[in-house]
Amino acid sequence: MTDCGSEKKVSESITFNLTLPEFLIAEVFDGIARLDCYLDEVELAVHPRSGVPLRLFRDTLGTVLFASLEEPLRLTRQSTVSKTPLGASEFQALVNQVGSTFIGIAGVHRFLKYLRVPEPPHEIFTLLREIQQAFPDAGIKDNETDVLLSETFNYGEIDLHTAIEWQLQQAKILKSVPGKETIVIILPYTQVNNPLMWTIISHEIGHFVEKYHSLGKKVLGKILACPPGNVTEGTELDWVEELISDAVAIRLLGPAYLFSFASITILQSSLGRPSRTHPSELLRVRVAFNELKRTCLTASVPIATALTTKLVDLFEEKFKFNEKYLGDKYMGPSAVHARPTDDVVALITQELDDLKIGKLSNDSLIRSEALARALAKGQPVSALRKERIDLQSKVESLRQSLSGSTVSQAEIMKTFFEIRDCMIEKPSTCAEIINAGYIHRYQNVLPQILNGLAGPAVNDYVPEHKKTINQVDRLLKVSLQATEIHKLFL
Amino acid sequence: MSFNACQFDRRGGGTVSIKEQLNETLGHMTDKNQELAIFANAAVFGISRYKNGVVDQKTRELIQQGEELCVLLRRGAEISSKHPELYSIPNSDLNSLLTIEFLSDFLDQNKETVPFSLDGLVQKASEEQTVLKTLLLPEFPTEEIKTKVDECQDFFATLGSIFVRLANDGLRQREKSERIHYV
Repeated sequence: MTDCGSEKKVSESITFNLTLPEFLIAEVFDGIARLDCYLDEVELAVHPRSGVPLRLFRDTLGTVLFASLEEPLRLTRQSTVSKTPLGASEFQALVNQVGSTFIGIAGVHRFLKYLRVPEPPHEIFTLLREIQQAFPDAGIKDNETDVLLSETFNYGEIDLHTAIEWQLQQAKILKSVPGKETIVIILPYTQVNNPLMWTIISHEIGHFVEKYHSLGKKVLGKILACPPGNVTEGTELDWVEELISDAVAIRLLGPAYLFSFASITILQSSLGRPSRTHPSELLRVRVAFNELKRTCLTASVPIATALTTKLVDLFEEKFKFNEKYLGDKYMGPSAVHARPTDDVVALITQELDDLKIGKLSNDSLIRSEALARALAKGQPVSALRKERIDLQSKVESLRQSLSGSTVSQAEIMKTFFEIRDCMIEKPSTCAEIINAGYIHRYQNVLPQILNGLAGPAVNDYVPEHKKTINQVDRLLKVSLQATEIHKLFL
Repeated sequence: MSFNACQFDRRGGGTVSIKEQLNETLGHMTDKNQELAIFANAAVFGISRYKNGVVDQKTRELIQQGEELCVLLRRGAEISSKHPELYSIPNSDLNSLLTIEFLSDFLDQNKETVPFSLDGLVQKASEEQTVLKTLLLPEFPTEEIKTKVDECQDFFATLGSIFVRLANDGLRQREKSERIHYV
């Protein structure tokens, strides 16, 4: 539990002021260290028969991936110490190098499938349940869910029942398969213990929801002024479905979803171009940011607002780099049938409002900012204690009221309930915990990496950062688990 | 999937077009392009160290990687111009050839943003290789070479960007080939 204490207002200062190269280096270093942590988990949890493959992986991390950051770090340090900006080609090579290390992580990740795999922790299912509970419709709330780990360094969703049914229909074996939809979420192996990246689950559940309610066709039908049944499959429907799933994720998890989305896409070389199936990443980030500003990023959450703004600025800066050096181009707003994106987003919001899907409130983000301070102190954040204003005097007044006879029973009861309410620790939601985790990450963990890497060799700081990763993962998982217990007592 | 002569033999060698072969080996080329990007970046970092007066073993290694990249590009262009039987190409040469094939496609599709034609790029690689070689000599390079160093660094930075983009495209392509709905 966490005590709000007497601190009524959170500090408005943020310590997250990394430059783009620093941010990318910190993110990639963290990514490699997480791979290393996963190898530890494999060794501890599934007891491989031989340590040889693990050694091979670890050697690759040490001699290739971590080592590849040495020159980018040298240049960054040199620029900081001399207070002169990097030369254009050095800046270009630095960002490119970090980008290729990221691809290297994805390459090594593919081979993890040849190791035994640990079980996904049950806290993932706590988050999944909370996400499902946000949908009043029983069709989503009660569907079976599962989490699968994959060697692909990406996140996905598959409706297993429909997929199998489709396959059997193609083979003319069965027309329909008994049972109902099963939501299977796919996470990369190395994110199995990272609650901050589990946020992508909300986007994937969003896909399930849009399919279940045919939301994509409904929205596109309104744009084309035709019944949803007449809407054909294709790129524009795919784009609308992606925007719906993003909107669901933003609604449920707020900035945390934008943070995780930016984290997995910022190192790509093409951020402005849409694909056949997805709008461009740049458009998706801009839409998400606008939506957050419209709904929950207000003056009452200065830290969350400042961090989100800073992250979006870094994303825009990376796009400008891509545009200048990697031939990237913002291909317009991915308009759907020439309708502006804002119109499409408004139609999506309307549909989601009609479904009465729960959403992250501004109050929740206020709580997340308070929880982040506790995380920084190494405390779990499963609940937040209310402020105890004048508790001592209220108790004294109640005692006097009970001993005397002048105060009415109704007034005594009022004072009693006020005191009781002060004592209640309201359980945090998973969304609040994860947003707090991100605030802690940007304010403390990432800047700490840059400080830690100031030494002569990259590898020297690895053990310490792995400790931080494990500690933060454990704190977040314990909080997710304990919040369930807190709920039982309310 | 590794890309070797045996696979060509099994498929009947030259009956499969090189473009089809390339499409099937995107996974391999993602890793290859990533490696080439690292070589190009290494040259930039090496030159940066050199310009800062750090001429040690590490600087030499970095510059040598840039030189190796130039060799690979020149060899690829040479093989490509001779139109050989694909299945008879030794593995290392095949890498050079594939690199050139990918570059050729890329440069065709990005004429507006990349300042090189394929021939121009290979020619430039040859010139910059000479600059790198001179930097590796124990004697301090002449004033003439020193003025070319910045240009050389820019060239390798541009090459790095091209290979990073190719590797990224390959990575995305590889993910798309699986039938999962990704984020």
